[in-house]
This record gives sequence, C-alpha cells and structure tokens, in this order.
Amino acid sequence: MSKILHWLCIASILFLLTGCWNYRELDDWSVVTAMGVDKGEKGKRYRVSYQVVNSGSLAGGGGQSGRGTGTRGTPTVTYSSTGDNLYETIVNTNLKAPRKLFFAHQRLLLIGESVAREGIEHLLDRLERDEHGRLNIIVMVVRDGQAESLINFLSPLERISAYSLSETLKVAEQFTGMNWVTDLSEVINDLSSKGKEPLVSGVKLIGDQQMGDQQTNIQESRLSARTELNGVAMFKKGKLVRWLEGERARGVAFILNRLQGTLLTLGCDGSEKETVGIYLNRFTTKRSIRVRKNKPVIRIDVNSEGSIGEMDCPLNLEDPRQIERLQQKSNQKIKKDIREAIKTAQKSKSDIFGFGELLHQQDPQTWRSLKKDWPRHFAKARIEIKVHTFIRLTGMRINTYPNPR
Amino acid sequence: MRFFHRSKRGRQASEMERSGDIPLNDDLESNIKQLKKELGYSPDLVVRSFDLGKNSDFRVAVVYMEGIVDEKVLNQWVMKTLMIDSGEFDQKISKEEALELIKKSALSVGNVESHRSWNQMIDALLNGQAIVLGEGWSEAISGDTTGGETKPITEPQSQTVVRGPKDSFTETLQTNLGLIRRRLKTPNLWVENTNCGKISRTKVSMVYIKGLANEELLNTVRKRLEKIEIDGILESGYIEEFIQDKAWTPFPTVFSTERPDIVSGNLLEGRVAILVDNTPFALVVPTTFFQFFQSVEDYYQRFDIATFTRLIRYFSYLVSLVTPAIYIALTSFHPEMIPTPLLIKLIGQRKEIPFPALVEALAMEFSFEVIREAGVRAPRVLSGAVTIVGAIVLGETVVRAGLATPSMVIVVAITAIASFASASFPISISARLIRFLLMLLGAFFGLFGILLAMILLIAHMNTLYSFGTPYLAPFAPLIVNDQKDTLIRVPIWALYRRPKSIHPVQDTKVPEGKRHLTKRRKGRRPR
Repeated sequence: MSKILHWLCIASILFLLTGCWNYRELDDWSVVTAMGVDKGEKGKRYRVSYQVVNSGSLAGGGGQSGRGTGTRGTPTVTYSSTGDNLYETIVNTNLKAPRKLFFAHQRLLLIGESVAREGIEHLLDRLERDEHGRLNIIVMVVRDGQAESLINFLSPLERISAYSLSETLKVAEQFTGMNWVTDLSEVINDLSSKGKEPLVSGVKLIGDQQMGDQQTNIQESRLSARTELNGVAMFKKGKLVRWLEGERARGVAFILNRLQGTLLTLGCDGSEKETVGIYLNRFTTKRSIRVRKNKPVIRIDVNSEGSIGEMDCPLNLEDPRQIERLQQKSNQKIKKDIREAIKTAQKSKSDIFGFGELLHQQDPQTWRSLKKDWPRHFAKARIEIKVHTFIRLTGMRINTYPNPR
Repeated sequence: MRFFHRSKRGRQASEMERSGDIPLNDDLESNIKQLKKELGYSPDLVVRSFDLGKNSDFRVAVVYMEGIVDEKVLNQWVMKTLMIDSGEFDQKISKEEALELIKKSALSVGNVESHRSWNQMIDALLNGQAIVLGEGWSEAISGDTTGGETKPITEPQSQTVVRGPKDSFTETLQTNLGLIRRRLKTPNLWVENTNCGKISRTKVSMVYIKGLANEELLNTVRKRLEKIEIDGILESGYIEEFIQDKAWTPFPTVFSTERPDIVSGNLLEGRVAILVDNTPFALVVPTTFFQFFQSVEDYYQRFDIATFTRLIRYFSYLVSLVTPAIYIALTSFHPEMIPTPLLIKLIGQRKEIPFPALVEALAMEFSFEVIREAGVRAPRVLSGAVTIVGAIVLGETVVRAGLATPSMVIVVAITAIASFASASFPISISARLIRFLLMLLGAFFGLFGILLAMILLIAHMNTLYSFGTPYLAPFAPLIVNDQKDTLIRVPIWALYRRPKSIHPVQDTKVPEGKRHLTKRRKGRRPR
C-alpha cells in the first residue's frame, strides 16, 4: 500500500514539473487564412494584411450557435501592420488583434505587384521558419494593385475569399491550362535553384474597387467588385519581369508538363467564323537538352490526347482522314504556343522552364562551364519541338446536325 | 497488500468452530434433540416422526429443511413409501434389517446414501436431502429430494444475440450443468465438485472435457480453487478475484458468461469452466484479451459478416477508449491537425463556453457515467425518467445554455455508443476507467501523452497472464494458427485447429481431408 502511495506521490510531482507548455484553448487562436504583402509606408519596408476568420459568423450552420451574439459580422476580418520584415508585422498585428494569429491553416499568400517587381527573394523565409507554417500555401501575385484589397475582399459562394481564390485557381488549372497552382515550397525551390525561375499566377480585382470589402457587394447577383485570374508572373532573379498571358502561359504549361486540361479552338477550313473545340486532358512532355558547339539545343516532345467538345462546321468525322487533319492542326497550334512561350522567356533571359537544371542533371560537366552565364546561353538556345496529338473521342455524336440551308 | 494478510490472520482466529466430527448416536430422541440444537431450533427444520409398519413400535423420523426440498418428491416417494406402503414391515423384522430394506428399496428416490458421521449428515440435510433417522440406528439415510423454488431458464440478459440459442444459465448449479451436458453428450465431459466458503458451503463445479483440457491447466485451476478461504461465496465474481493471476489491472483475466453455448464452445477449445451455485454467471479460463471481443454470434453468422462485425467491435473499443482524449489533445495542443473548416466551426462553438476543453470534457463524461449508473441502479419504474432527464439535460439544455459545445456532446455520445457495442461487459467497463486517464494525459501532454499512455497500456497488457496463457496471445507471442479466429473469423471448416495459446491436448478439430467440403471440382456441382 505504502509502495503505491510512494509512486503516486512521485507521479504527482510530474504534473508540477511540466506545466502546459503549449496548451492553448481553441478560442485563443485567430485562424489566418490568407496573407497579403504590399509595399510599406512611412519608411517601413512592408505592409502586410492578414485575413482572419470571424469564426462566430461562420460556425453557425443554423440552429444552436449564433444565439445571443447579435450581429454576426463579416466572415473574415482584416488586420494590417507595417514592418521591415514579416515577423515584425505579425508582432505589430497583436497590437490590434485580440488573439494570437495562427498560421497553420493559411491557404493563400498574395504578393502585391510592386513588391514582386522589387523582388521576393528572401520574403518567404519567415513562412518557412514558422513551426506552424505550411509549405503548401498557394502563392499568387496581385496584378495592378494592392494585395490588401484582395485580402479585404468578401466573396459570395465561398464565404472566405482566400478559399474562393484558391478554388478558382484549382478549377482554372484543370480547365483552362492558362493558370496553375504554385505553392510556397515550389516557389522557394525555384528561387533557390540556379537554373530555374518561379512562375506565379496573377489575380486581379476588377470592377468597382471600393466595393470589394463591403457586405453589400455579396448581396448582389452581379458583383460590383470581383476577382479574376489574370496572367502568369514571370520572375527573374527573384524579381517580376513580365506577365505571360493566355496562350503563351499555356505554352509554358505544356513545356513544364503541368497541364491538366485545356481547350484548343481551331478554325474550320475556309471559314473564319466556324470553329472546332478540342478539349485535351492527357499530356506528357519529355524534355531533353544537349550542347552542340557551345550552343544548347532544347528538344521538347509533347504527347497529348483529347476529345472533340464542340464543332460547328460540317466536317465529316466518319472519315478518319478528317480526324487526322484535326490532329495535325492541333499539333501546329500547340507548337506555336510552345515556341512563343520559349521565345518570350529567351527575350527576357529568364529560364523559367528549368532547362539549366535539366542540363545540370544530364551533363554536369558542360553545365559547370555554362553555369555562370546561363541566362545568356539560354537566350540563344535552339529549340526543337515535336507534338503528337491524338483525338480519342468525338463526344456524344459524330458529325454535327445537318444544316439544310 | 499487507492489509490483506493481516485481516486473513484475524479471520482465522475467529473462525467459527463447528461441532467436531462425531459419530451418530443410536438413540433417535437424542439425535433429534441434538440436531435441533445444532440448527438453533430453526423453524424451517421439519422433523416428522412416526412408527414404521403396522402395529410396530419401531420409530423413525424424516428430517428435512423446508424450502430447499422438492415437496412433491418428498411426499410422494419418501413419506408415502415409508408411512403407507410400509405394510410389509411387521414386528418380526429387526431394526438392522429395516435399515437395509429402506436403503435398498423403500426410498424410491434417485440418490440414497447412508451417513455415519454427524457432519456428513448435516451437509446432506442443508443440501436439501431428506434424512431418515431410526431408533437404534447409528447411521442416517439420506434421499435426494433437492429442489424447491427455482427460476425457470430465461433469455440471457447481458449477452444477447440475433441468431443463436436463447437460453441462459440460472441460479441453480444442477440446471446449469444440465444445459451444458445437453450440448456436449460425451462421457468425457467431466465435472469436479468442491465446496467453497466456510459458512456458505457453496457448491463450485469445475467442468472440462477430459482429453482436451490440458492436465497442467486442470491442476492449476484445482489448486487455486482449493486455496480459496473465505466465509462465503455469493457470486462467481468472488471466485474470479481469488483465482485471477493479477489483481492490479483494469483488464479482466477471467472470462465470464451467462450463456451455456459460450461455455460449451470454450470447453470444446480445451478451456475449463467454473460454475458456481446461485449465480447464472460461469467463469471460463484461460482467456485472452481478444476473447472479450468475440461474440458467440460470430460463429452463428456467415464468416464474412462475422469478420466485419468483429472488426467493428475492436474499432468501437478503441473509439470508446480514445475519442474524448484525442478531441481534447487536438483542440488544445494540435489545432493544425484539424481540417480548416472543422476548426473554424469548433472555434465558433467554443467561443462562448466558459470552461476549458478538459473541464468541459470531464464534466460531460462524468455526468454521462452518472446517468449510466443511475440507469442501472434505479428501480425499473424510474429508469425511463433517468433517461429522459439525462438526454434532455445532457443533450439539449447544456448546449442551449452555452455550457458545453455541441461537438463535445457528439464526442461523448460517440464514446458512449461505442462502449455499448462491445461483446462483453467486463472489457467495456475497463475502457471506462482508462478513458479518464487518457483524457487527463491528453489535456496535459497532448497526443504525445496519449501515445505514451497507449505504449504503457500495451506494455502492461504484455505482463498479464491468464492461467499460463499470455493475455495478448496470439499477437504477443505471435501464433499464426490462432490468427484465423482473432481479428477475423475464417469459415468454420477452415478453423480446424483449436487455439494453440491454451495448449489443448488434441489440437485438431476437423479431420484431414474433410476440411473443404464445399470445394467445387471443375465441371461438377457439389453434392
């Protein structure tokens, strides 16, 4: 008996010794869903806005909660602070926010265009260093504007606008192929690699800029202020150098083998108005690089597969040669996209595709000699493109319905 | 532990002294007087003395205890034969001849014995036998008239099944043995009786199948039963605590059941059952942790369904063990592990709760335990009121008043339902105790604490034995053969070996070549 008592005494000391070192009740946290970095004012380098979830307004789901709370408020609340680095702004935010900011559930990092143009090389260190930080945060650049305006933005379908943006981007990646998800770890990898530069999707607030943070904005069916994905930001040495638009961005996606789905719109023979829409949904891209006579030769092999989604011209698809022709046309189109994408990159001497890295892997010896002046070598590289498209299906019908006229 | 020894010694000193084992007197009058005195002139002792035969002065007395004899048998086959059908006794017959005659033919009941010693006779009397004493005899004849009011066989209360036999043990040992024997009609079903309890003299039967149960196991059980020294055994729980291997554990190391089919199944596996008079709960040894998750219905349903339901039982045990602890640990230490939308909901709910998560959880779990206990203890008529108050107070009002979060109520409810889904009551109550420990550790050390507790728990279970069988067999030690009937249940014909963990003498159940009766040959339908 006394032996047990002994052990109980000793065990109870354990509770005195440790304490609750990181014990925190849920309601002590403010969940940060998005973070927007803008240029600072009054001599400070950054002005950072934090989108914090107003859980009381969201937890409802009808019934019990929300009782006695009176006004529910907006789903998210923004806190902004200035500072010379991110950590300083976090600390300064606690002068304003009643709870500790909690970053483990952050979904989005928005970078204002002006900050991006000045360079984001070491901006991301804090996010990686934080023990609560997540590396799968989606990074986006806010085009022609302040990141804060998007952090403030209230969205109608997803109540938290950070989710709205990230979901939009995911859907766009799947269907347009002109924007794609880039997460924090990818950006950091690209920034720290010598032969690669990051590519980050752009987003824009359009319409009535003043309405974005108003609750009345989401009470209209046609929003006065809304967001739109717009272009892909191309970086060089950590600085935004130019925007890739539409099909040029798609060309990049082809080369990077990042495409999940895209629509090719081809003209019909002899008619400008009529078109064929081919939805491509399977891709493989093989890339190789070798150096011939001190000049890099880049070879790109694209295999893609898809189906006809719409056809408003009277092509006879029962004839396999017609399909063949459509495939040829698709090949030409894709080839053009790719060529333009590379040319754009070459013009700004930014190896966004990681061909330098590829050379490093395939031919380390040569890479060592070209490493120093890689952007210049990349700019004059020769490009060989080979595309093979296969149309597997024609949709639910073969030919379009006949037009009697 | 020291406390125990001391009290034992004290008990030995004040031990009740029974009258020494003396032979019977040959004077009827003084025997009866002595008997009455011995039983404290108890009114339920019935003495009926009369003259045997016509015109005889040969006095005999029939003595029995009212209430534990079968009055019908007594009147029909003892009293009547002695008093009315005893015409053939005339004066010529000597007293010794009369004794022989009664022993041989007059008492037309099953079990007739003669006793020369006083103690033997009283034991027989208190077991419900009728004793015949005679003038000039120095021995007593006992006839088996055991009976009295007993409960009929009813449906089992604690281990119910959808498919399977619906009988359960009763409070009468004889009936219970009969229920087993009806299932196992083999001469090898052996029963060893002992009496336990200095005062209660409770009949305890050790039942096993000769040739299946391991001799070593039988010896251990015998030895442990013999060692029991206590004044009274009122339930098999008394025996269980005496014979179990380790007292300081929340886990039961003796299996108990009120179903004769479970006992029979276990006997067939080479286990030993211990039946105690006056209780419908039989003990089965040795057992393993996993036996408590095997419902008897697992063997009555098809094997795939049985496997599924069995896995559900294991899962629900785990759920009832750790759910509140994990909830506390996640919400107070690891909010990053909760999916974001759920986290936002939880924060929103928690905002207005005045207590920390641990206090909330402990209060809710505790009040649930109170309601559960009240539901069991309250008189039947009140149990409805208990559930209504419990459900309304816990489920509705507490949440509406903002004293607990709806999610905590869900956690408590899941825990409760999961703990009801166990095949055996003793194992689910063990989880109740451990759950509170885990909740504290979860609140003080987070998932780290829960993990440590689980490691300790498994280490502790590894130290347990049940009559020579490791408690975690067949996982520690690993016995591949027994896996067929542990987490899963393979078809009956594929279970052709008895569990090796209990070392049965014969380990094959289904003979070679008969193991795949339903295996289909190509092109032929099975007959």
